[in-house]
Amino acid sequence: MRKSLSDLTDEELISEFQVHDTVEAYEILVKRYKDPLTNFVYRFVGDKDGATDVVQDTMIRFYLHKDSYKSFAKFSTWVYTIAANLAKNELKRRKRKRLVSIHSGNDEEQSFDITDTNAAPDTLADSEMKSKIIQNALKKIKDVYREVVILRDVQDLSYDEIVEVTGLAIGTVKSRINRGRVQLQKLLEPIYNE
Amino acid sequence: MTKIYKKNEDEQFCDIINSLKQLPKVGASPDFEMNLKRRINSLEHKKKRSFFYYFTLRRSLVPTLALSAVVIITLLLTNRNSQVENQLTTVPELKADSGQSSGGNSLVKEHLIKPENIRADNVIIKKSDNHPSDHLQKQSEATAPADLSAEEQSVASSQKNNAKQLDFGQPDNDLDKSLHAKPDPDGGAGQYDNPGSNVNFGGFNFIPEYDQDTDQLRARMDSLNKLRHR
Repeated sequence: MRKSLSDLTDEELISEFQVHDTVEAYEILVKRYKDPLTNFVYRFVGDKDGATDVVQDTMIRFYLHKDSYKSFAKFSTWVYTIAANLAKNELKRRKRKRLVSIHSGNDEEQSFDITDTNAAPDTLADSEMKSKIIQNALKKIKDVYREVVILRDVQDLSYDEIVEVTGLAIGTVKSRINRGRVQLQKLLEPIYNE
Repeated sequence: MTKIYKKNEDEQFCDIINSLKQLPKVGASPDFEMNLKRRINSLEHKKKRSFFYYFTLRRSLVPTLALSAVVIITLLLTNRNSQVENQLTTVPELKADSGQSSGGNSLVKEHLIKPENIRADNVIIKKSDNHPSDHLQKQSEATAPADLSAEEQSVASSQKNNAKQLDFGQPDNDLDKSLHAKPDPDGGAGQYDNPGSNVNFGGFNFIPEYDQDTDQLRARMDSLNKLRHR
């Protein structure tokens, strides 16, 4: 008996899409990855609209260049690589146009979806503020450190997966994560001392 | 040891790691998939358009294309015209050392040897003792092969002088001799066969129609010599 498309693994789905051009397989993959990718790109770029655009571009690239995926790689790392590269390009473009604003608080407030709705109002406000501070701190650290810290500590990717996504050596990945954490710790020291 | 180090490292940054892990997850907007489908459809629609359809849609390109076509045609026509050689403006090629490069007969095979090229009208008389053409003439005489007859050498030298605006500052004895040379009764190659017939220079024939020009030149030379002797 043949499995339904939703039961297939990511790699099986992309293979189905590559071989038979099954659009349903592509749609399932989009459903699976749209949220994690949006979260990753949002933490990396810093605003929701930009993150949505980057993720849409990622999905379009994946659609148009499906044949560039090789079966020996994990689909998740492949799609994260595309998203990371596009996010970096977006940051570069913004820097060129000098549109980067570190303190763009209002937009952020609107774009946040707080999942923990059972929390008390005080706790909610507190956690919201804390997450805002952390997000600002993330923006302040170097791009190269931010990327790996987000992949490791926010997206929960393994070191090997991060190596695949970034194309860096494992030692470089570890040192960058360490340095990124040190920088974050310095920036967030006031919160932890309270 | 590595695990201990790793554990210590994680403990060292446990606050940071926990804070990052507890950050609220930001999801895609509800219309994400709809927008994505719309964008993909528009891309595919563009892909399906044929080249000509795309081309005809761009009406703004028509003037540019017309202008570029006109420019290309003009350039082609201009190039074609420039390739045609203007016979009036081109200078005939002078081979000063033709005797060096090949055998003795090469001199007489040159088209420049025709008397029409050494018309008296073209001769410019200059009174000078040391003219560069003298040097050229001497050089050509020195390099001329030994088997050439006096007539051949003189005609060739006179030709070169003509091409280089002949200088009659010094009397040209060879040319003078050659013009007054009597026909050789043997009539060998490179010798003057008959006064009335073609002159044979080892394969090259003087065409009788040029005799008139030769006579004119001869008369001119005589008059010049007379003037010089006076």
